[in-house]
Amino acid sequence: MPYLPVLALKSAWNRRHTLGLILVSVSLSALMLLGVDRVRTSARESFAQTISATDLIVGARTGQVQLLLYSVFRLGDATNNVSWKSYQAIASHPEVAWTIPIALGDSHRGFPLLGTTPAYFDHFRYGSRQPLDFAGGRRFEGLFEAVIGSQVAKKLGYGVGDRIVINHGAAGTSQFDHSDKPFTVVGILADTGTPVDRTVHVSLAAIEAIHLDWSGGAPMPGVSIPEQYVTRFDLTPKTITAAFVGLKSRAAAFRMQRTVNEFKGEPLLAALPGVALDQLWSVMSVAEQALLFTAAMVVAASLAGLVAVLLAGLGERRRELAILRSVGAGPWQILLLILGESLLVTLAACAAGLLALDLLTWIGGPWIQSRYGLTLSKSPVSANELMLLSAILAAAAIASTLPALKAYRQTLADGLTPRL
Amino acid sequence: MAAISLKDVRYRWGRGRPLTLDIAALEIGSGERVFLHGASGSGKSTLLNLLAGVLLPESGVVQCLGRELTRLGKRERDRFRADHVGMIFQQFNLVPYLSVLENVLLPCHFSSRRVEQASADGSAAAQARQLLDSLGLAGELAARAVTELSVGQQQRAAVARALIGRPELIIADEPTSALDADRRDRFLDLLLGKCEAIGSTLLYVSHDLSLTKHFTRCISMSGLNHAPREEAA
Repeated sequence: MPYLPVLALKSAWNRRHTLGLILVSVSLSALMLLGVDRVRTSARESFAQTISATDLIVGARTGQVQLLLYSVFRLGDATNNVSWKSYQAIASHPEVAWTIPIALGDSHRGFPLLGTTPAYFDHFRYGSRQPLDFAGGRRFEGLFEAVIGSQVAKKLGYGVGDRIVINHGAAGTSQFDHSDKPFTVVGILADTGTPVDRTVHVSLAAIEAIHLDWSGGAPMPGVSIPEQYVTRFDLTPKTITAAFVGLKSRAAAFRMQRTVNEFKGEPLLAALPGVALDQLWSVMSVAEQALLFTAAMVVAASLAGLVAVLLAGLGERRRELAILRSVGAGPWQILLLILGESLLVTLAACAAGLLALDLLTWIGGPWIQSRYGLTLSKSPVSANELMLLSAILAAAAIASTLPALKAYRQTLADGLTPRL
Repeated sequence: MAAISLKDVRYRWGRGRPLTLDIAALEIGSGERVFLHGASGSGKSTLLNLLAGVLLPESGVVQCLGRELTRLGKRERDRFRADHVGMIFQQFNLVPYLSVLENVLLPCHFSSRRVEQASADGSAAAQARQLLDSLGLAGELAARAVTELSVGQQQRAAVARALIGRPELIIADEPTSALDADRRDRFLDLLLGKCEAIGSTLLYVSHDLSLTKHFTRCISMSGLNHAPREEAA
């Protein structure tokens, strides 16, 4: 007759205040562990999705990771630019199928400005080779037209037809802006969950145009070229920041990489996006491992608390256990009673932790997405999370053998007459 | 047939410690109501643990209801206790998180024999209520939390638990020490009456010699146990 679980439940309910507190503590630790894991997994996933189908990223000579950071993630600044001549030499190489030149540096209210060509909309891919879609409007065609990412539109409340002013330099680095030459939003891209969502796209020629009357990072005093006259100047860029390169055959990637790295005109670097992403992730994985380790320690601490509560409870339960012995309970049943209670509390705590995480993901997910560009997995529980939960349960089972064995020995020594 | 039979039983708590119990022979007949008298530290508790099959002697034979406990395994002895022995303690007899009725039914969850005998004429719960009724714990008292009961009521609930399913042997370990004289006598009358009604052997342990008149036989621990008395206890 399965009376022991009933007994364990009733006994636990009788001490619900102490056990309730320890349950909260264990469930918070489970929440933390699962949360770290969920963020980590989601980050890794969305990370690998930022760029696809590009065979090489070409930029001025620097580290692969750094090139990836500024060209793809818009983090940090390029140390050097690539001359337009060199870019054209690479673009016209027989192995090259397409290229997307990009020019970075300016921003709009904190969102990076990216100068490029229509090739961007033709060839740029993210996720599993997904092209960019328009949520509204069209590509830029005229000079002072901009296509904005979904987050830019959402955050700043922009729609097609709105006029925007470009700030000089990255967010907050310069007091100057390009208010004399405002842009019109002509297109809004669909959500991608990548840095594209936070980017304002304009043509390379437009970037030249807004800097015509500038010199050394500031407007030239006394010189002002009005909007309508800029087309009289040559708007071919002199430099770009980097270029995404697609090859006719992927097999040529290593050969082409060498060609770029040995380029005669200026020191250049070609990075393989997959390799660079792996490198960057391995840098971040130190932090990721540290977080996971910390969370595991918190779980261990909360389980130690559980064991302490169970051990402390044994003293006051001597009578109860002796009564159970007197009506025929064996010492093994006493051991199982204590073990069962501990597993009961841990199981409830794990369920509560998972539920809390799902609730937090559900409520906070959109905010995290807009604030950090990180899409949290929406599935209520993953295989990996189930594994972590079983690990917590297993750890609890192992840790609880301590009070369970103590109860076993105590009940043997006490017999029917507990010494109080 | 003898309900209890001990022969050359020796017991000590651990190797190298002095003997706690040294009994040459003890026989208690079936249906007897025996008063076992002894001061604290005289080995009473140890004897009870041996009779209930919780402890094993280092030598000698303990026979209970015709079964040789000293030849049974741990599990079999636990089973034997669940099936055949009802226990009443000095105080705090009830599991605090169970209702009075659940406490009374507790032995039925560990012994199918007790369930069978308890539900011979109806259900185990019905017999439990009937027992509680006859012990003056009628009606809604049965559903109460045990902490709401007085000490006397708790001890009577413990009697009901010991008696349910008609075990052959009832062991009571100073169950009246927390009761005043008036309630003590009424409690004893109830207990003795019940044991007689179901034909159980009763072994009643106490240091209160004024109770001897209620019993058919009185055994003194000091005459029975030849182990040297421990001064520390």
